[in-house]
Amino acid sequence: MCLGIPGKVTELYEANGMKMGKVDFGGVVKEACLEYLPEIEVGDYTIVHVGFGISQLDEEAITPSSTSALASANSTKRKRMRR
Amino acid sequence: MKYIDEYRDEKVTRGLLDEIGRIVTREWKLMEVCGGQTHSILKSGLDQLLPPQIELIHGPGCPVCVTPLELIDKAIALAQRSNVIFVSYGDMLRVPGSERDLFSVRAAGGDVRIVYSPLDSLKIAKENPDKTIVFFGIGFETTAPANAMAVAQAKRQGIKNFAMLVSHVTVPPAISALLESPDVRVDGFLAAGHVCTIMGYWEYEPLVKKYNVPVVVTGFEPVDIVHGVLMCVKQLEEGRAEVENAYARSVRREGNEPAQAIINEVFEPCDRPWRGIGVIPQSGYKFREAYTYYDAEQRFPDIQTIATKESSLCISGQVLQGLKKPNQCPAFGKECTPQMPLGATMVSSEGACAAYYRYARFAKTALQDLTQKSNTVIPSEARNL
Amino acid sequence: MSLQLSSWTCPLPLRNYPTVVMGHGSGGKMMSDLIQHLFAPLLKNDLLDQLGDSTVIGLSQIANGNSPSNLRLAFTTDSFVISPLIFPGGDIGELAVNGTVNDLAMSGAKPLFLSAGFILEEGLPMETLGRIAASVAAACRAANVQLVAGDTKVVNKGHGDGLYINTSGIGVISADINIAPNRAQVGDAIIVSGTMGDHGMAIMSVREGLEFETQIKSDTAPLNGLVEAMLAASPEIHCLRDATRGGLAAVLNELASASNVGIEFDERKIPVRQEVHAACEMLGLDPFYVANEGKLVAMVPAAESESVLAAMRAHPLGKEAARIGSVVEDHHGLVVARTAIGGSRVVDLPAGELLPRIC
Repeated sequence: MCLGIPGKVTELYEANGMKMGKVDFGGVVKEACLEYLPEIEVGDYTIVHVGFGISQLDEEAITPSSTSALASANSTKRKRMRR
Repeated sequence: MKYIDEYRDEKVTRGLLDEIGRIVTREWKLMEVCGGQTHSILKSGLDQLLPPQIELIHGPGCPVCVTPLELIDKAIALAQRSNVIFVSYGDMLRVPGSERDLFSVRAAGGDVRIVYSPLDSLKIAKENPDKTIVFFGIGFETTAPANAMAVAQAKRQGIKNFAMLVSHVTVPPAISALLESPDVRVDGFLAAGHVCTIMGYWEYEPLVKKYNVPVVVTGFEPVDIVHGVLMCVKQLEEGRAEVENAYARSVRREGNEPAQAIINEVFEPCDRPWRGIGVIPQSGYKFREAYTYYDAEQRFPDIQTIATKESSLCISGQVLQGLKKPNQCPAFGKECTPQMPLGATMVSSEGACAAYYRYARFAKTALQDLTQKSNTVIPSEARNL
Repeated sequence: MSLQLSSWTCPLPLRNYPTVVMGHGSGGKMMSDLIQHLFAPLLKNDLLDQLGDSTVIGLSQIANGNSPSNLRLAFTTDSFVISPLIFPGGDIGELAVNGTVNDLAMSGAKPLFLSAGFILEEGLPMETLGRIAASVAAACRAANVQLVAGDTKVVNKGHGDGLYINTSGIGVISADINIAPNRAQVGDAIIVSGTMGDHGMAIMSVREGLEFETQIKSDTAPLNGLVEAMLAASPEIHCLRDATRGGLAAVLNELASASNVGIEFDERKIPVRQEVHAACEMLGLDPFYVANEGKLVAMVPAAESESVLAAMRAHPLGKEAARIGSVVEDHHGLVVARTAIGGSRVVDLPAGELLPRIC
């Protein structure tokens, strides 16, 4: 596997023909290659693995479960996300 | 940190654990495929919080640990050359080859460097035109697009003094191999969320049909993992076997297509040996014809003569499948220790063998204290020491 | 602190050599110039000014008003090798003073005198050396210790990482204090003086190949003042350790095995800066294994823990002090952490050099 950490894209630019960006991980900023995320924009969250954005996180992804524990978990999460 | 802290919440984890406790009626053995999930499980103590009916078997999903001994010996041979700068991800430096690790090559004067991103190795190549930069390209499908990009960029930018020693492995063939094994005892799989982020999960659909085993795509934080376990147990209890996605915030069915495209541009599938397990057909990547210039094994053809045989004593393949316990191995603690490991399960600090070895150091009374009083400390596989 | 090149007493001989050359270790005129014009003006004090082969100190100066027969001496040495020499939040000079001051303070001693040996690599910029020597001087003032002996050697280019510093130190311990790694007792409260992992992650952030942008700074600081305040609150402190290499995990493991006791702590109670937490996540590291250079771990009888904590929080270097756990009867020699999700795990000794993980 693969250590992948979520962070927020704060800047986009091009280098050597690649889509590059700065990603902020809770106050630590690192350059990442975002070539595999053609639609990602500043302000979006991505998961970064070895300096490459591998996915654009979907804030609205509904966790596919109807259990009460999870439903309440999701509603708390949602509140936090909106902050 | 957003998307991390809320997935380590005690209350949410408890709620999900309670839900599992309510629906489970018998014993189930689930395999978390990915070493990152194993790390998270042991680090959070999650295995101790699950209902006793659920046993987690730690799968082979650590690219560092399954890199065959022979390739590490080749890496070491390259790193010792005065005209080579050997570049690697950090965790590869500690993994021993048959005689030494990359750390000791560096100690003996070899130029061995750690990078965060494979693109950093191209920077090193430009700064050192009189040296050949060899990057140790290890990883699962998650890392393949990054390593492939480094090679594609080297070609595009005309960087000639760059080569890659490739040791890529892929997950679905390994799961197939586990399922093909006649004495397999895994009831369900938690698939690796970041591998699926790249590759999607459509590949598992025929597997699930053929073997009637549920697969749940699972993330890495404790809440994600318990959620994956819950979905898997639910399927098992209801007699279903489907591919489900418990990591929807990152994983889509079709995966990341631009990333898949560059993997296909640079690499093609090949048979690959896994340390301590043996060759799994079509479970790795090698360079496509158009990129063989960057293949370190072709650039330095003399390393092709290095043919290290792995120990026949090692039973890590069986340990990985949950067929044997580490201390049933004749080499455990003798020929095989974390300092001089034979198989993947001893290389990784999270591997079943290394965990056994670590906890065996402590006095038996300490272990009893822990299991009796706190009942939550020792990894389940070490309890039977 | 920045060094004013122009304020040197006689800059000429050094200006001729913008970098250290072998001659600066020759024992001749050039070496004398280096000492007279670079080190001496910065580090000057009455004892150092003796300039003899050894520095002679009167016992009364050590006893400092106490009866000499009740006093014990603490004596320690440490060598400092770090790359880069100047890092966010400090440099090797400050580190070399604070490291030895802290080692003395951890036995309950009041640090008094230090020596410093500088191993210079040929080619080291004179400006860097000046800046670091100034920083040694400033750190001595901050820690209220005197540098009373020194030495300089030069090694050929390629035989040193720019500059190594060895410091030794002497301090005195008053009669009522008994602090040792084997004194932890069941029931003791375990206290940390502040956030964990700052120094190690500050160094990591400027390491070649791993660089990242952050505000993280090394926490290098002299802890003798803090220890003095703690001892004033309670002389009953059982163990003190500065959590340097190997971080909190190494200290707790050493104390658990030296005292043959079990240790339990709660991960959530450990102060970790948000940026350090984030950087550790990014590199796959655990902040409990990351080095500190200005933080201590204390084992204190539970009854005294509140007053010690209050004294720590009143000191600038202990504002974020927290009680993180207890010494327990069970699992002798084992350190057990209660995790964020309410599980528990054994926290082992770190395996070796901290390496960023990809998996």
